[in-house]
Amino acid sequence: MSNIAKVILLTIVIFAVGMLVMPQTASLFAGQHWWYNISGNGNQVPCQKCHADVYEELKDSYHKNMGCACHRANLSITYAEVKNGKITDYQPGKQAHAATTVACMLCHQINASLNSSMPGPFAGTFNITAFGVKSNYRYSNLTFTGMCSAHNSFVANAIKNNTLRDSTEACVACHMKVNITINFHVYKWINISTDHVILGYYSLTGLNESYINVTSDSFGYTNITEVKP
Amino acid sequence: MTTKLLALTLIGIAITALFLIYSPHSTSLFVGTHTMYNFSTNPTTGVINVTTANGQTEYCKLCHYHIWEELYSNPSSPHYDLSCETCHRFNGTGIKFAVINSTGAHPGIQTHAAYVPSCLDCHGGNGVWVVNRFGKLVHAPPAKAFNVTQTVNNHNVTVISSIPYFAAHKAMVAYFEKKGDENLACLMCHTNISKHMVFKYQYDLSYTLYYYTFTSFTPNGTRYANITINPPSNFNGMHEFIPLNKINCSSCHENIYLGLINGTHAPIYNAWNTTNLWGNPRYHALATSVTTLNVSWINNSYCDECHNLYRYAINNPTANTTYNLYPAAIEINSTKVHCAEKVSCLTCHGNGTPYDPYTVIATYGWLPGGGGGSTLYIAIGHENMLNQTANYSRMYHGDVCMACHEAAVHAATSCKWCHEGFIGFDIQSEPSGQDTII
Repeated sequence: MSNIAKVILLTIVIFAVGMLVMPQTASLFAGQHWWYNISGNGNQVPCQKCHADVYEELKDSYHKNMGCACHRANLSITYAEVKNGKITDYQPGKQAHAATTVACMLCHQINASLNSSMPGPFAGTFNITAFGVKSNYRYSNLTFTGMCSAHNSFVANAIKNNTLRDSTEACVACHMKVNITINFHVYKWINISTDHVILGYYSLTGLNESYINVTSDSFGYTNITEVKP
Repeated sequence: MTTKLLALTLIGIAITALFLIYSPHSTSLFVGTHTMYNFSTNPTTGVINVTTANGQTEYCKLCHYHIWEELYSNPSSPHYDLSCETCHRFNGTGIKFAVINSTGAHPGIQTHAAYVPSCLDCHGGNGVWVVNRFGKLVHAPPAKAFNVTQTVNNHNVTVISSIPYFAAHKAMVAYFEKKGDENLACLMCHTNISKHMVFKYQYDLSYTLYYYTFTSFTPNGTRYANITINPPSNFNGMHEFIPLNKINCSSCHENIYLGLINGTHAPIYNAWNTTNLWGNPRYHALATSVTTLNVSWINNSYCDECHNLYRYAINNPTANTTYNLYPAAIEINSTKVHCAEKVSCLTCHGNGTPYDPYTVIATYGWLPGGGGGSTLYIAIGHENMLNQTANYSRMYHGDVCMACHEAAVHAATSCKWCHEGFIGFDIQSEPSGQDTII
């Protein structure tokens, strides 16, 4: 038998063995029929499998003990859930299936327990109404007025921006290690004009008083770029 | 060639496969959005630090680096020793800030992280003591005359300024007060922010006298002084503070500076050589003539001679003794002002004031002049003229006085100025110094 014939025969044999030993069919992705147990307390789906970057960030942060529960904390949303460990108690999601994006203020608004299953400390105290902005979350009340907050405008305008939920852009900017480029539009010039005003007789001085009065002002601005590392 | 191509293709496939296996399956919208800062607050100074990839750093500095850099650009500048938190988390107002400490997280009440302070939060009342960024207790002195409680209406808008009338700059502070941000008035003088000011004031006054009695008085027009000051700062200058004694009065009041040189704002020239009726060298004289004047002598100290007599007396003990300044400083309102008192010549030289000329003219033993009568008459006539001057608006007092006392002219004047019947003047105001007898 020639060498060529031997190689052909060996190939046929290997194929034949393969046909016998290998599964009759192969699923498209290995493991796709291994189901997570989601019937226990909490959600056992490993979010980090898909969100490994988030997991890496989260594991050393203040929120490390909360896992990913923020994304299923909204009490006004019904998430898909297997209750009491019984598949018969399956609750399909209504407004969401597995998770929702979340605004920081969901858990950090005033009386957050009314809206969140895992309320955190109140971190509002911003007066957003002064900027004509409304939010679903409670930033202030008669006690926590936020009237003096230096960042009111920042928070209010973050609410207007739809990149992240509500004012989360502002929260992230200050509280998270996110690189940010900020363009500040700030005073550079103060312009004033004055007039000389005659008041008339003033008994305290016995003089016909006059004074230099400021009649108008205007401001010049400059743009400054800050890059938060 | 074919083998190489095949090998490269296989390597490419392998790298792609490895990337797909090991790279995250999804990424968050912004890197870092789940990595929170751990705050570390210094219990003494209140400075908040956070840890970044570059190590510990001041928290505020992360977003406000330009301000931070400006604040600490000059070691001799006021507030150089303060932290951002000293002012923007000042705890003397009752405002409660959000705090994370050993007992947990505590929300702010009126604010979360910081507030925009009023300068008077620290510099109002009697001033306050604060802990600076080095942990040292330091005093923020009161801004006298401006450190008053404001009267507000039921809309919480300041409507009436309680700043006393004698405080120079009252109008400016009150103006910005009514606009809701009196800090702007402070920034105008105490920082390097750019400024542009247009002063409108009286110009070209004509008046005539008949033996010390006004027979005509005519302001002829107005003049504008355009003052522009550019800052050396590379930012906006608002956090580059200037101490009170370093503020150059002349930079904003350039027209007055020029008026002094030209002899119209105050008697800067020593017309009567080394002595005068008071028995001393003229108090506010710097030189005998414009040719001998060193303009650098026109500085804040010179302005203080009239506009902050108390400070001048303290800083110049010899002058204080010679001219008996301190009692005068008490008698006028010099001890009660922040930087400058609003004065006219009559504040010190009016009828019954500390340096009323009546007393020296009446007792000096001057011989009767031609046509006017006795020394007593001159004294009485002079006081009568002061009283009439007081009836004209304060803005004209200086011009009236300087028409005669404009030193460079006075030295060459004949007796008729005081001792003959009619005399008339046409005097321009600052910055020019023309004084014409009409």
